[in-house]
Amino acid sequence: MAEYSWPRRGTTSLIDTEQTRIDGVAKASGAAKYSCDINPKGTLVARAMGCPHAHCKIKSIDISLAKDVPGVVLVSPAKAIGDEIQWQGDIIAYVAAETEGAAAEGVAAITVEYEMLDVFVDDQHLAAAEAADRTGKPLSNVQLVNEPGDDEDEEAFEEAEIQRLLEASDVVVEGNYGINVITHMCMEPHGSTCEWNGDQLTAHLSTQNVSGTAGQFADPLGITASDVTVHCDFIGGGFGSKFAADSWGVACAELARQTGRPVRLMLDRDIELKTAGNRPSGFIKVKIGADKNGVVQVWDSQQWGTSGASGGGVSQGVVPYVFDPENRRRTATSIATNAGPQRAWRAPNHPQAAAITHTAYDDVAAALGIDSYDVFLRNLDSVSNDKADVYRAQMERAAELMQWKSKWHAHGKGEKKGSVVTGLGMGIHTWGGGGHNSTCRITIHPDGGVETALGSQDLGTGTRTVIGIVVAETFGLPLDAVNVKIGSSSYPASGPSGGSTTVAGVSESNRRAAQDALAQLNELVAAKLGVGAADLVAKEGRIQASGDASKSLSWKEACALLGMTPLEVNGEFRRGEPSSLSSSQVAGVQMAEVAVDLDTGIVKPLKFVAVQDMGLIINRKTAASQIYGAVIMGIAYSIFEERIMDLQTGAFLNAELADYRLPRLGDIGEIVVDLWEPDSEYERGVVGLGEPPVISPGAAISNAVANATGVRVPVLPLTPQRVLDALGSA
Amino acid sequence: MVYRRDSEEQTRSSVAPACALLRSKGMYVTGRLNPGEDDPLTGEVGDGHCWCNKTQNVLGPDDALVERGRCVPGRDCYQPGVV
Repeated sequence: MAEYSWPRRGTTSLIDTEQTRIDGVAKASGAAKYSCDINPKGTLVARAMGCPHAHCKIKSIDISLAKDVPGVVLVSPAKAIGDEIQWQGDIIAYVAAETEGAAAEGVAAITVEYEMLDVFVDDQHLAAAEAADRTGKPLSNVQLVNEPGDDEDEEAFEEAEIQRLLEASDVVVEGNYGINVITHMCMEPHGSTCEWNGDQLTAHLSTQNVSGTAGQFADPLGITASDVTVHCDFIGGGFGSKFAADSWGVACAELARQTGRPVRLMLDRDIELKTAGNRPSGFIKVKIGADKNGVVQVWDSQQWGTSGASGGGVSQGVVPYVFDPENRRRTATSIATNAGPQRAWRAPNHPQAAAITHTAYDDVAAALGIDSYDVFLRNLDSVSNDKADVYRAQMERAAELMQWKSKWHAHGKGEKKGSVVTGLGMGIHTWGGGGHNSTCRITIHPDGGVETALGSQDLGTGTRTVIGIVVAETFGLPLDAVNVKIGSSSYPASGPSGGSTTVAGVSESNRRAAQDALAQLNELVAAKLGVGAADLVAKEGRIQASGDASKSLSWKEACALLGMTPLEVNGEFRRGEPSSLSSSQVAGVQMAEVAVDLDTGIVKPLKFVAVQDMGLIINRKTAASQIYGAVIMGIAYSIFEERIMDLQTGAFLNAELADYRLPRLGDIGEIVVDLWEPDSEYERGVVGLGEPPVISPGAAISNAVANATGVRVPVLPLTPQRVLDALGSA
Repeated sequence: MVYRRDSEEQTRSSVAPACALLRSKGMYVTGRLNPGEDDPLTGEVGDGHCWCNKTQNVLGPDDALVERGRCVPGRDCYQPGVV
């Protein structure tokens, strides 16, 4: 088996440099075609009708008036009489029409009678959920250094041991913390344009899962995956919510089949936010015992939250987050609500876990009157991964960039300028990022043209560019010499973009294929030049004998040796396979400096430092861009965005872009990104980066607000009202 | 030796075979069957979100919720998998 490797650090021409996205101009100019831009001749526009009620039964559906609306071609109910609706926005019917206006009019003409049912959406109050019989059976998980005796009752022992440890602690901190539900808020809503050619379906789907969705269309439509081609050149955000064909995707295909015309069905923003994914809430009551240095001796927590109708909430497996004290008890209770179902949101569970547990660690520092940095540092011996030394080094670097030591003051003891106080906070995180399964096909044409094709997708993160860099670097060519073909399920299968697995997966398959292809080409060149193939190197557009530039061919001359037949080479990587090209597991440290206006409750980020490891960096520009974007997204969920529900009706009150608060440029402050990259990082190969930098902002910003004000604002986002409420009750 | 105990509910989960129509993000990304299961390779935690391949919804053909623990033998719409 061939041995694959990366070029030595410092010898690369493209890898580990800053490269502009190869599709940047297309995206910035509007030339890039998204799913809703696909407009075959005769395309019908479809719209979905969402249920206005959060919990009800369908008594009747009358579509006769809708069918008579001029321009309406087909009305298709998605629910039947007697069906129970469990959240507002669940789709009841679809209308396909000649125009957007006719489709909207058709939706408005559908008449539905409902039987109203009891509504429950209060996920913040466990007692209320218990009273409403909306809680699942609590899950508990205990870990203790001491063991019960053989005849001892386990639960009684656990309770007594936890109490003993708390009493033995130098300080005990009790607190309540929480983080609300947010939605994915993809700029491009879920949807597709579907067209049939005989019994062959092409679905232009907004998806993170190009190679994995053909089978999802096929089963409900009664065809096979080989009858389906999924196509997605560009996607306007997914963040974990676009892995399925979805019922509305299948409905789009069915409408197209029944009408015999292409159909475009994109969810309206209102339905998008209500039904196409959200991040679960997490609330926690914590009792934490620590020694006089802030080292946690015992953790005892009870958490709850919701993922919608199924219950759910934040996994207790990541509580407390990263830190794993030897003595801990954690209990989690799910709350079923009449709210839309959750979907994976960038680093599932981790941001919420960081926000509701690193805040408790920070409150230990506040209680002891010591530096939060020191408390985080002193607890690193208990981290749940093997990254303690990495965290130490990254904390030192982050503190230097933040000027932490010179800016630090005890909680609530900083200088007040007018009504404004400032403070510092931090958080640490972890993530996997190992590559997914990936296959690709690299073709070298006799005229020198190079292309690579794989069923991957670019979420806007720069995957296309990463692939191009890997292939171009291997062949010693400029980036624009490689034609990167992704976004079609007709290409060799590659994994979905989730879990920060893409860059490692596609780098693996493409580097392997490129090295194999170059080896075959080198055999031909070697024979021509009369040198050994192993002595050849590809660089600066030529293949030449190492150390002897006089013996060389241009890339084009070398490719001409192929004769009339292109050279095709497949590359394959299987997840988990040992490889020198990629690995997994990253750490990461983030620090925030904020200003808080005590009169208005407004929190303003001043400076945010993100120190992040990611193994070998393929493209420094898009790597940094990922971190900038993640920090901005983190600031958004820390201070601004949340799903606001009406407790009486279950209505999602801010399900529009106009009402769903997101930060503007002036709300962000300075962001300092530090790519943490000692040689050991380069040597361990590529690791995914998408998720990790979005994890810590909630903890870091909440801790900074607590440091500034001396008061913990318990629930994120830290809206002015919540800040004022916390200040008022302090 | 450290003492550890999980609640009965946790230890019981994922014992029964899953329906062949059960889908999750994790199945596509990591190839793991249980969508709520952590990935030992990376330490990632399952998001718990599942859907039915037949309905492409979080509600199954019987209009009940799709979950790893519910999509097991005994449910009317259950389809046995190959594994």
